[in-house]
Amino acid sequence: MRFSVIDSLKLHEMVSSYMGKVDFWSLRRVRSTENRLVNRHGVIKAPHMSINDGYMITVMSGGGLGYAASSDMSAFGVSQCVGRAKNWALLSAEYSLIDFSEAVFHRNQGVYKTDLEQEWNDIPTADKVSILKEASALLKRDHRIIDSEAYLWQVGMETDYITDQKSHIHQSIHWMNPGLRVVANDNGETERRSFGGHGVCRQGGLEVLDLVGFMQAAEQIPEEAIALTNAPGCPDESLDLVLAPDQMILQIHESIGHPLELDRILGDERNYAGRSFVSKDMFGSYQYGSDLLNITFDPTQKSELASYAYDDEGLKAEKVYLIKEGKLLAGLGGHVSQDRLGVPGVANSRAVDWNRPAIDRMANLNLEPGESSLEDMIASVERGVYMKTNQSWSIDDSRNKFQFGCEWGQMIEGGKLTHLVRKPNYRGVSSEFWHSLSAVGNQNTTDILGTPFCGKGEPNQAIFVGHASPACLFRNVQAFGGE
Amino acid sequence: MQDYFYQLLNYINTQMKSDEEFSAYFTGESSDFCRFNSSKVRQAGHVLQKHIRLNVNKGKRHAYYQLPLSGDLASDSSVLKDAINKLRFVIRDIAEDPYFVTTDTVSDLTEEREGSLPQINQFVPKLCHTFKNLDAVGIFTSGHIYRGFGNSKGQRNWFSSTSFNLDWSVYHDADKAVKNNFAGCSWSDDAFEAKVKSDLTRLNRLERFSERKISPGGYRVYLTPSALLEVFELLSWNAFGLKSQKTRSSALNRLVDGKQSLSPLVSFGEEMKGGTAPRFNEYGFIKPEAIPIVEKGQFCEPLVSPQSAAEYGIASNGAESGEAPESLVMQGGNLQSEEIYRKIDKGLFISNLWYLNYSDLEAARMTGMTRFATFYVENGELKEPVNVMRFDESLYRMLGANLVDLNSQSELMLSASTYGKRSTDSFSLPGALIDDFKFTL
Repeated sequence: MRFSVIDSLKLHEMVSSYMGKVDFWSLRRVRSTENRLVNRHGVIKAPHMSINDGYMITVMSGGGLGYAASSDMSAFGVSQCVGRAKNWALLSAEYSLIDFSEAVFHRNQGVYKTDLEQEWNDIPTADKVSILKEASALLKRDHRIIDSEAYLWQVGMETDYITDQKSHIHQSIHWMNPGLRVVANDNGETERRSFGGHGVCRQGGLEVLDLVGFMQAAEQIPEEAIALTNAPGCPDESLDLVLAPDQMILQIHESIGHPLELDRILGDERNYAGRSFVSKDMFGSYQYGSDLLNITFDPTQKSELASYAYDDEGLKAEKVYLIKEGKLLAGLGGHVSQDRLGVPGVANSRAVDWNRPAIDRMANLNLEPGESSLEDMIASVERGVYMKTNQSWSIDDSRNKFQFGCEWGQMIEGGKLTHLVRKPNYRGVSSEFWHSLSAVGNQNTTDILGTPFCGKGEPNQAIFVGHASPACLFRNVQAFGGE
Repeated sequence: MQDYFYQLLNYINTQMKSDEEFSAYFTGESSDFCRFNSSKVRQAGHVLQKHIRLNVNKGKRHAYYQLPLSGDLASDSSVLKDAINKLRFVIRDIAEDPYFVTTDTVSDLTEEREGSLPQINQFVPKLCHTFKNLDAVGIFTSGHIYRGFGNSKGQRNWFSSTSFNLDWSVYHDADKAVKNNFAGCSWSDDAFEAKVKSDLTRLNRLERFSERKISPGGYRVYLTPSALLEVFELLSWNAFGLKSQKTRSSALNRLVDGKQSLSPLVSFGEEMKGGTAPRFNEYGFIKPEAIPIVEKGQFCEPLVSPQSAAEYGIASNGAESGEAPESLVMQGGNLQSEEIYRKIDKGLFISNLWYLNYSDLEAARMTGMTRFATFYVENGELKEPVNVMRFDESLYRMLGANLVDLNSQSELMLSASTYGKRSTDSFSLPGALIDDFKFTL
């Protein structure tokens, strides 16, 4: 399948020919392909393929900003798109919250490309179907597994960002999300297990399947689901928690990532995604958590989901410590938000596609590994729960009062793992919770995960983000089970 | 737009071989978005998008291809030709889909909802002026939405809607705000100004009274329709669909099994009349006027997509593949609006809930937060705003044993969701007076 024959430089010329005099303009063109192949309980579903190809023009004029997006690359379509963007810039100038005449846009040239070993189209459909058939057979091998799904979701995105000031950035990002899930029913109880929720996502091609242990997981998770149906409920008490990486990613995402988004602190999201308990004066001094807590914005991890060289407004992306030894240093905001708030940020102005404008987003947000082995963390717990794989997440609009539920729990008693528990949940307050971080797992406990579905913004956009985290130990957290 | 889509359908038809069939689903919009913060424009622009999702089948072997459309017939025809060839290539290598079904009959349907939208060049100054002395934040979305379907059998369905959705909140301080929404097909300055006036009344209470800190425990609460909406949006993920129910993944499984019930006051279902969604689904199946899901607290019918119908041997009622409602209507009860505070007597008036999720799916137990304007009520009078609180409560209690009454008046709420494209979903819900609603944090 081919995209439009018009290449991005030609499109840029067309835009330029219609633009006239403005303070600044940019063209962001996104071409993407997507493939989904699903085997549901032994039945291969119809393959879904898609291509998308469109562009967004952003104009700054007289202090205002306007954007317009379209997939129409005819001369008429481009001229209309330019006209709409200019009209919005002019219209908003008098009423703009931000004086865009002061905005500084960086002039950069660069390229980024995901390292791909096995591209999606290199493997015939029949072979991919066979992989899922094999996984499905493993998932549903026990009659107590009443539903199952094995899927492959592949995305490839080519983005060109070109400005009137001769920036040109071309980035090619390809990622895979292989998924597995089962529903077990036994003795009147139903339990679910999955392969990291939707969290097993990495940049790369089909080689990711071996890297993440796809078939091994297909063997393991049905056994775990069945075992859970016969387990007692999680106790309702204050316990020490050891959280596996596929729960840590949600804890990090909701109670560190979102509260540190600078546009949230600036109030832009108050009608929808919410605000933050973090304020401007906290940067540089606030003790966010224990001194074991080190959080980085890291676009340099080659296989992590949201690695890139530049953000969608052309800012060069670098690894930055947001929290170091527990102290808050920087926020998640691109250059516009950094200027508005006057705090340090990162290159994270991102848009999900050509049809949405760039806003402050998480990209790769990681908890840096520590020194503890999983065995040592468990051995240090007198009474607690080891929880794996998030299945429920909820937090208040200031990102403080949270509650999470996991698929799998195992009691820790006297420093040893004992029996399984069903429906393990826990709740807490972000501003207190991270101070109870008592041990951080080492590199051996670390997993590189992410989520394709981080939602915010008006208009709404759900974007992919990466999270790498070790297992971690938290003391005295309120845990509870189901009914 | 409709003519163009039908031209493409005719072209696709010319490309089909004798043993092939196709169906195509069109989504498009031409929308202005004006995002504002602190009563000023934060980010504004326009999006024009058109996509077609093409399905080609040979018997029960089939595959889907979604493509963007430029609007130029020659260019789009060329892209579609490539897509058809790609689909043929892929279909070769896959087995028959036992749950693949197409419509038995040809049902043409055209629905065009005209409206009158404010002129953007005049509206933006008016918006900023109206909110000038307030701290308003939100988004104004306006324009045209299109959906279409066609297939080899000659079925032609078209839906277009001219509509707007203004969703905003006015802030007093920190997390204390009032939220509002004005959406529909025909803009009215008077209706908008009336809503802003009601904001000021509630805002005044936030400004006059300091926050009252309440503790976890059970409270009598009134959930406004906007608050109850969050409960139904969570349920819409998976509770109403046949597939979820058959695979024990529905939050309503105990209701479906007859092991538990809701209050006899509770009746709701999918009702297309009065909603804002098209009557045809993405596979060309036409939805009935009404599907009762729960009647007087007892389970009636699930939402059934064509695929689930084939899998489980039950007739489809035109649900989309996700089997979520698009036009959910709940009947009201006996509680008169002017009696709400008196009937609460001592408890909480909750304007909005936020970020709901399940804490125990099988028990339909959900957790979430209060948000925006939540007030303490004492001796039947509205008092101070309270701190945000987390609840953890089962549907079988909140709309079951602990449901005191429902408001006699329902409110039609049009979805403000714009993930990928503007939503056409709607909910019509009353408010709910509930006893012993559990807060945990």
